[in-house]
Order: sequence, then C-alpha cells, then structure tokens
Amino acid sequence: MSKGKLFALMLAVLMLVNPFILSASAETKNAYVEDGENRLDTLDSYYSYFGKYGTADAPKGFTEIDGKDIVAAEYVDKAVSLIEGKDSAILSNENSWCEWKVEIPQDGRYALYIDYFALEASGKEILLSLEVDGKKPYTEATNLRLPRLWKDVVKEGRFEVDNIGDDIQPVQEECKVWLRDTFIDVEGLYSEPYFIYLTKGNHNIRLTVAREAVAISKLSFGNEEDPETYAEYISKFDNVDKNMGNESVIQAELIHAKNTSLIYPTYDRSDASTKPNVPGLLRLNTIGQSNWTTVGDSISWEADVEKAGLYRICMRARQNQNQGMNSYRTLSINGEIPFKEACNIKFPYSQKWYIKTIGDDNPYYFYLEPGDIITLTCVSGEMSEPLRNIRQSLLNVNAIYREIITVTSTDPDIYRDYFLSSQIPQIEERLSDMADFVKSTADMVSKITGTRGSQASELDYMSEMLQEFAYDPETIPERLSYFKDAINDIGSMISTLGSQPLELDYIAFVPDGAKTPSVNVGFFEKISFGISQFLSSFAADYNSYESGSGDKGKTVNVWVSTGRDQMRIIKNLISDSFTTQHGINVNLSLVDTGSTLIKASLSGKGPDAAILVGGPMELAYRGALVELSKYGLDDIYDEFYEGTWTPYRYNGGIYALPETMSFDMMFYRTDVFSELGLSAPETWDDFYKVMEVLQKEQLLVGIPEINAANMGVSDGISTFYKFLLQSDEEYFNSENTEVNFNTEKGYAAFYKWVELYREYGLPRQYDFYSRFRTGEMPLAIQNYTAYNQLSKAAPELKGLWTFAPIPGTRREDGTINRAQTAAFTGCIMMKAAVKHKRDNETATFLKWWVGNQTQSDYAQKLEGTMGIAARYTPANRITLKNIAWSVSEHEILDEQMAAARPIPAVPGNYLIGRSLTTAFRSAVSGKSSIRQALTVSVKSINDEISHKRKEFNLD
Amino acid sequence: MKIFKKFKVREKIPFKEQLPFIVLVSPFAISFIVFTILPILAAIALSFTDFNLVSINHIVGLENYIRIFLEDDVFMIALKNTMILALVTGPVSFILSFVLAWLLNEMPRGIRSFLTLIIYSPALAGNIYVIWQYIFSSDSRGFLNTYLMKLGIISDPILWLSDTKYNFAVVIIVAIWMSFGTGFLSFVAGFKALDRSLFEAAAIDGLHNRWQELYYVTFPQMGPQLLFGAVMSIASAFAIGSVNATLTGNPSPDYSTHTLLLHITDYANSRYEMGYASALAVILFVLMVTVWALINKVLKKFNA
Repeated sequence: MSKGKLFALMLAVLMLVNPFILSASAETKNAYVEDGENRLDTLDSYYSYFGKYGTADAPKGFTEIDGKDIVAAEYVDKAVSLIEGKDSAILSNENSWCEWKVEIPQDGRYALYIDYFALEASGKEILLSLEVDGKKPYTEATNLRLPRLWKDVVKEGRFEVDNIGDDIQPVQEECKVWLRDTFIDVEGLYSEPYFIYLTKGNHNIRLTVAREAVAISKLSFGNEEDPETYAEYISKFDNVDKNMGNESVIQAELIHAKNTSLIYPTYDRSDASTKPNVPGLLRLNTIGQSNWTTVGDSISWEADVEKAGLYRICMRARQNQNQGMNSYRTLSINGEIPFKEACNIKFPYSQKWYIKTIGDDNPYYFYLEPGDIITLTCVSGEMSEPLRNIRQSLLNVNAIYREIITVTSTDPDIYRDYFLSSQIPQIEERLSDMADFVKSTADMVSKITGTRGSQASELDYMSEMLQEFAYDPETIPERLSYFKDAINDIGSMISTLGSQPLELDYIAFVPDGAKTPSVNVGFFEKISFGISQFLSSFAADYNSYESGSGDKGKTVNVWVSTGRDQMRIIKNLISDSFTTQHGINVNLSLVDTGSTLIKASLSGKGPDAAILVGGPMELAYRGALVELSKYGLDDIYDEFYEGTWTPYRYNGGIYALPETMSFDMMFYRTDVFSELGLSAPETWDDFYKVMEVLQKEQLLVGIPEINAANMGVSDGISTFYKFLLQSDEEYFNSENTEVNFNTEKGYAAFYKWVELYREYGLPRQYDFYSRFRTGEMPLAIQNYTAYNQLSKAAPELKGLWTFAPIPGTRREDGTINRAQTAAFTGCIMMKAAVKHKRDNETATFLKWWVGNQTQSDYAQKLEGTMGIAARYTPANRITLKNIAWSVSEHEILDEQMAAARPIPAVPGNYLIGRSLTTAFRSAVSGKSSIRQALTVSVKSINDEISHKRKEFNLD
Repeated sequence: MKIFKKFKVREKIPFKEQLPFIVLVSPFAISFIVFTILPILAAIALSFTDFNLVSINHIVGLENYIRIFLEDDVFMIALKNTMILALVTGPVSFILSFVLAWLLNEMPRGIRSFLTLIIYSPALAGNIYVIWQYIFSSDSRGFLNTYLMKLGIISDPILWLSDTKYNFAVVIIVAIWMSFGTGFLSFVAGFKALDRSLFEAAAIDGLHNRWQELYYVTFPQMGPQLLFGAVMSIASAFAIGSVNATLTGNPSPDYSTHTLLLHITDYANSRYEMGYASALAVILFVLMVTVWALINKVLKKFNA
C-alpha cells in the first residue's frame, strides 16, 4: 500500500469516528449545562418572582402597622423616638435594622408603602433592604430606594445673578417633611411598585438601612385603589363655573419641590420663544432636559391660579433626547392622581418645542384651587413590558453566545465544521424560540412608538439572525462577530428605552374661555434675538470667569484643565461657597495646562494656581512651584491616606495637593462565575486557577497591556508594579538614585508580567466593554472607572457583575497584600502667587478645593449633571465615602485606596514606563531573553535618573 | 561690467525713494526676522546651555552635541527614520505630484478643478489623517483587518499601529497621502503658465513624443516650480512627526516610527530639556539646508 493511500484511509477512519467522539463529549456537556441552568434559577431575581406571583390577587386597601411597634431591632441608638410630631422607629446608621409583625388578612400581592422622615446624613437617597420572615424575597430587595425631597432656594421669585448677569444655579435645600412612598424599579421594567407575596396570617417584616438614615412612622401593606375615570371625575364639578377669565402661567424652572437633587434648572439659549431669555446672557429657563429621565423622579409646582375652578393644563415641552421614543409622566394634584387618564401622559419625540395639552384634542379639565400642588412623576408607561422582554432575551442570547464560544472559541476557524447542533443540545429550537420572542418584542415596540424606528429594526435584525442560525447552525461561526455586535446594540437600547427625558419651559392653567398659549414668538422677534445673540458672542469670554467684585488685588488667578461643564460646576462652587466664605475673588480660566503652564510661567503670564494638573512634579523639579506644607496643611492632611501624598513629596516638601486618584479593581461576571462554580480570586494563586478554568471554557481573562491612547507606553506597567509591590519591594533604592527592578524580587515581578502574555496567552489588546458584556471575558482587571461606564452602558447586566479588590499576595501572617500603583491629578501653586503676594489667598483656595466639603459637592454636582458615567474619582478618602457607592462597594474601594502605593516623585521617572514597555515587548516577542531585556532597560532608567540628578543639582 | 554698473545705480537711489519699498517689504521682513531668523539664532545659542524652560543653570558648551552623537541611542533611530522618510516620501511625493499635475493638465476644466480639490484636500484638511486610525485599527473589526480576515489572507488581527513590523510602512503611506500640498498646487499652476508657442515651435523642430516634449520644453519652463515643489516636499518630509505621533503614539513602540521632529518634541515637551532639544533642532536645520543645497544643484539645470 502506498503512503498516499494509507494516509487517505486514516483520514477516512478519522472522519467516521469524529462525530462519535464529538457526540460523546456533547452528552457530558449536556449534563453540565442543565446543572448550570438549575444553579442560575436559585438566584431569585424579581423577574422570576414577578413571573411566579405576577398574576396573584392584589387586594385593595391597606393593612397598617405603626412604626413604633417594633418587635426586634439592632444597632439602633434609640429604637423609638418622637420625630416631628410622630412616634417612629429610628434607623440611624448603616446596617441597623428593625422588625415588625404584620397580620395579613388574605393571600395576595402587597406593595409596601412607608411613611418616613429622611434623617440628616450625607444627603443621598435612602437605601433599604427588606426581609420577609428572615428571607429576602428577591435580589432587588437588597437595594430599595426611598427618595428625599428637595427644593431650590430662590429669592423674590427669580434666580440670583452673578457679576456678568448670568443666572447662578440655585442652592438646593432638603425639605424636612414627612413623606410617604413605596419601592419602585427605577429602570422602568415594572410599571407597578415592587410587591411581596404574602400568605394569610402573621409575617415578620425586617427593614435594614443599607445607606443613610431614616425614621419610619407607619408601614402600609396593600395596593392603591384604581383612580376613577375622567367621566366620573368631571361629573362632580358640573355646577362649577368654567369661564373664569385669564390663564395663569408658571415658569417650569421655578419649582415647588423635587424628589431628587439631580434635577436642576437648565437653559435653552437658542430659542427666542423660551421664556425668559436675554441675548448674550445665560438664563436658567427650563427644567428637565437630560436630567429628568429616571422612573420615579418627580417635580412639583404650585398652581398659581387666581380662583378655584376648572382648568386645562398646557405645557411648553420638548423631548429631543430619545429619538423616536415617547416619554411618560403621571400627574397628581396634592399627591392624589385625579383620574385614570392622568396616568401615563405621553410626550412624543420632537426636535422642536411644542405645547402639550393634557388630553390633546379633547382636553381634560382639572379642578384647581389657589395653592394646589401639581406633581409630574416619571413613569415607564407602556414601555415596561417590552423592556422586560428585551432584558430577558438579551440574557438568553448572551447565554447561548457563551455556549457557542465554548465550542468555537471567540475567534472561530470559519473553514471548520463545529457540529454545533450536536454539540449544544436543542440549539435549533432554542434559537428559534428566541427569534420569535424577539420578533414579538419588536412588534410591541413599534406599536407603542408608532414607527418601525431604529429600535424596532435592531430587534428585527436580531430576530432574523437568530432565525437563520436556527435554520443552519453551521453558519454561526462565520457570523459570530456580527452576532456579538447585534447583542451589543440591543444592550445599549435598554438604557435608551428605559429613560424618559422631558424638558419643560412653562406650565399654563387655561380656563375654558381663554386661548391655549402659542408655542413660538413672531418671526421678527426671533430674528432680532438671533442677531443680538450673535453680536454678543463677540463680547463674551466663554473661557474665563471671575467670581465676586471689589478688591482686584486679592484676586487669585486659577487655570483649570477640564471640560466646560466641569468648569461651570467649579465656577458655581467658587461663587456659592468660596468667595462668600473667605472673601477672596477667583478668576477661573479654562486652559489646557499640558505644557502651557511652564511656558506661561516662564514668560511671567502664568496663573497663581492650577487645578486638575496631570504631572505637576516636572514643574516642581524645575523650581516653578511653591512648597505647600508651610501654609499649614494639618486640617486637610488626614483626609488623605498617607500613600496619597507620596507622588507629591520632593526634597522634604509637598508641592501639590492630590485631587483625583484612580486605580485598578477586578471586575467579574457573577453569573458566569456561579455557572462555573467559581468564586472571585483573592490572591494571584487563585487568579491563575480561575484563569485555567475560564480558558478551558474558551473564555478570556483581561489585563490591559496596550494603551489605546498612547501606544508607546504600555498600560501593563501597572501589572508589573502590582507584582513588584506585593513582593514588598520598593520602586527605588533608599536614596532614590536607582530603581530596584534588577533585584531578585524585581526580576521575579517582571518575569510574572511577561509570563501572563507569553505563557498564559492573554490578549494584549481588547475592547473590555463589549467582551465583558457578552460574557466572553468574565474576568478582567480594569481601572475602577470602568464601573461607571458599565453601569451606564450595560444596564441589562445589572446584578450580574461586580468588582472586587485586585488579587493580592498572601503575607506570612495570613493577610493579603494588595498593593498597587495609582494615577493622580493634583493642584499646584505657581511662583507667580508669591511674586504678587497672593500666596496665602492661593493656599486658602487650594485647601478649600481639595477639602472634603468642596470635593463632595463637586462630585455630587458632576454626577448630577453628567450622570453616573462621570462619577468622580476623588483622592480624598472622606469624599470617596460621600459618593453614591453602596456600603460594600465603598468598603472595598476604600481598602484598595488605602493599599495604593504610587510611584514617588523622582526626576526622570517618566522613562520607567517607556523603557520597561520596550523591555516587556521584546521579552514577550522573544527578541531578547527576559533577563537581558530587563537589564538593558534598568540601565537606561538609571542613566536617566543620574542625568536628571545632575541637572537638578541633587548630588 | 554692465551688472556692476547696475548695482552702482541701485545703490545711488536716495533713501527717500527707497522708503516706499522698505515700507512695502517690512511687514513680511519683520515677521520673518522675528518668527524665523531670531528663533533659529536663539536655538543655536540655547543649544550650548542646559536651558529647562525655567532657568539656565549651566553653559555646557558642546556637551549636548556630544551626548547626541555618542550617548543617545534613540537619536540614531530617529535620524535613520527621518532619512528614510525624507528619501522615500520626499521624492515619491515630488514625482507623484508632478505626474498627477501633468495628467490633470490634460483634463477638461471642470473635472480638473474637481480632482485638484480632491487630491489637495488631505493637505488642506490638516489633522484629517486620524481617519487612518480606523482603517488601520488593531481590533479584529478594524476596517483593514476585517477585510483581510474576510478574504482569508490573515486569520488574526494585525496590530498595524503598534507592531513594529508594519507601523513604519503605515506612516509612510499616510505621509504620502498627505503630501500633495503646496508643491502640487504650484505644479498645477505651473502647467497653466507654460508658453504654448514653444510647444508649437518644438513640434515644428521635430519632437518625436510626449516624453521629449516634457523633457525639452516643459521642464526648462517649469524650473522655479520644480525647485519650489522639491524644497517643499523635502522640507515637509523632514518635518513629518504629527502623523506618527497620532497614529503610533509618541514615543512609538520601540521608537519604531520616531523621527527627529518627535525626538525634539519629546525632549522639549515631556522632558523640558530645551538645550538638548535646541541642539537637535540645529542638527535638523543643518540637515535640511544641506539637502536643499543638493536639490538646488540638481535642479540648477532647469533654473535659468
């Protein structure tokens, strides 16, 4: 037999046997997957709870218990006390709880309404966790929210203006009143409040405070009566005179109250018809814009009618944020929904302003008395069901995607047959079921929005793709990347569909005889407004701002390198608190401080101070900065961890104050981990074990290497530092003249870093968000700001991921060393301040700025303005506590912050990143041996350091 | 003798009569002196110090130059890359500009203007080269990677911009794409200014083909434009830097696309070693002047 024939025979045998081998492994796979699904089911989400009990009876009326009738309590200073006239249970600190006993008259679904008083704490929303008979009913019960009530401080019916004439954002003040509210889903997935299913008889109800502090006077179990219909409502007012003369108008930005501090007055400068508007000046003339989007957020106004009677309610409104979508609001008068039709009022999408009359062509009349409070609450309206479906399909599709990549890997060979239909049990049926489900959701969405718009068409695309996959699973590997893109697109849809933006200009109460106000002013008024607006743009300086007036000699010039929105917040903080407190004026300019700062100070045009500066120490080495510890930093020093000061210490002094600080955390997908029976790795040893399991499943582990912004210096340097610091090695020798990288510990750290890519084959460049989202990269070490983007961009993953401290190294005493480096920005005082004798004022400003109060206010405003994606990363450890992290999140962030050991200020240290990157890359590619690469790089770093020491006369 | 006389006559022009000319030339002359001559002189002076943007600590003499040539490994890489870039993109863009202008000259007016705009637009639009980042994106769904993977030419995404095997080539391609600037425009204009009667005369004298026409008639007439184009393309080739920095980062991986200009920016803006950076700038200046002299010599033939 010739060689060729023998080979052909072997090939034939192999091909015959192959399917059997594959199907054998498929059987074991099958058992495993079913097991995994069972495990997922024990994770009881509200979705499955809703599916189980959603159709149960919902008894109307309430069973009430007094807050003071506590049966058990813990960590409560004083269990019951009189608060604002009511006996109540006090939950005064985090993790304190109270328990009540309730007797339920009949089986059914019960919502829990709470009469509460928000106690003084850090001013965030109150988070409670609910247990029924010692057990949480569903995962969402750990984070139930009760809002606080806020109002804007306004003098004489209008906002205050600054020295230019622009409106100043009003100060917000909490309303100290008793409130009544229930728990709702802020994502908008459920149009009704969260319920608990209770059987007839006695139950123990326990509420634990997860955040803030609250007093509770009454708990009511039950469901609100359905409001009457409009016909019933209006028949009560048959004999009220409808013709009452003139309309009355209230400006929507002047509110009575709001239940979140994140809503604040906004402005529309471009439209002459938006009132009030002055060309060239900033008038806060609208409210809502992109801030009033979350389900449950409400604003109330005082109805300014002349006399009691029946009025139409017309609003000048705009919804230009969510293309093709409707926003929904529910109207209540004095806290009561007047009739059924006042629920789910629809505000359609439009680029232009329009007049929305409630009831549209057949307007509804509301009985209003002077001083009535009308409230609009953001509700999810008809969108909640499609939203639920999309979220569920997304989770299903992601699950099947992960099953597919365990067979094909994320980068399949398109010329290979993977026998997916035998590898993954019932793949065709499952795909086809999903396709039908997605299709029906698409129909639902297009029916609600009235168009087959972009949202519905993305769903259609997904449905078609799933159908084609079901028809022929062998096409999946080829189209895997498109499949992943489609999953991503649908994921980002959820946040669009769930948000309900609305902007209001004014609200008019129009009696029967009067005309509905017109939406636009006349043509000539528009033209003249546009022209004066254009002309005034020549005079206005949008890049600088001065607070206060008077003694110009004591004006501190500050440069800030940030975005315009951030600068506006800083400017408001300065004029609201700094200038009024200290009597020092500040001239704030928006300047990109990169290398401008040193050039400007060389020419004598530099500022007194600069904030949010990236690498200030290069200026310090060259003597351009003022040493700050002589101005007395005692009162703020302890607000920072000791390590936080390291990067700004030089020659025994402190040359900058830390502002922001960011570091890495470990992100992982809890669903994938529980499916595979894994837990979050604590140490590197665990990490490698987890990595093995994940890689066996063709899943990826992410540690950033290539820095997308600057390919020259690798992000992976921080990985090297982790290994180095956790082996208790310092960056530099004790005199800061040489790096310690060529010690045995240093070499071991470098070896481990190279090994991650050379031996474990980690991807060097990847898109974290999309891979984490699909679950193909369930474990990654990322900067902790990734949390913000994930919560903003991947709402469907809520509850399916979390972050943990980075893996550490176990010390001999059993504790874990989680040291790592961190990145900072700082604020500095330039020599110019001393020259102009403004150094004391400048130091006061800098201390004020990095102090906890200002940083917390800034963080809160920032998140309020720009959403969770802009969550601040303070270096101030007290501020970190005041940011909207949950208690457990704050705990691990704080632990990691305390463990940070940033690189000390040593002239020439910029070369480390560069030089090590070169060494690392040549070691990974095998161009040179690991030891050789490191030695060469250490030599060049040390040369640079000694060169710089000579330049700065340090020897 | 005649020339000498001419000079004599010119020197005798009284100041009063010279004044209008001086006034007319002064706006340019002043800004040229302030913004070009003085900085060059300042750079030469600073190159002998250790100026760090805040203070001059020592006069170091030739130490900066000694460091550049004896200690700075990266300078040699930068010099090599700069020379390659200048020698490849300079002549290529010069020849391509000329050929394109020549071809465009044959087109009807409307199409010519349109195509001129299209070809000139990359240079006109400034930082437009960032779009190449998407084309050469390292992600497996970057434009080029997607197509190459679809066609089955590669199976794994190529890190175009960070893999030292490819990124220099990418930079050269983008630099050439960007290089149809002022030189190209001057060629287009130069072709328009040709004396048609000379072509006729040459045809009567017995030209055999278009190449001869190009060489014997067009070139001699286009001398000034050719020189201008050559100087522009070489000068811009020496000054390539921002393209590399944007596409491959500054510093690029292993300094693979590092040029002299980037080396200067690196020392000036991230290390604040102005003295050293000035010395580098002086070297670059000398290099450019030398190359200019060479070009002048080569093109002298056409420069009556």
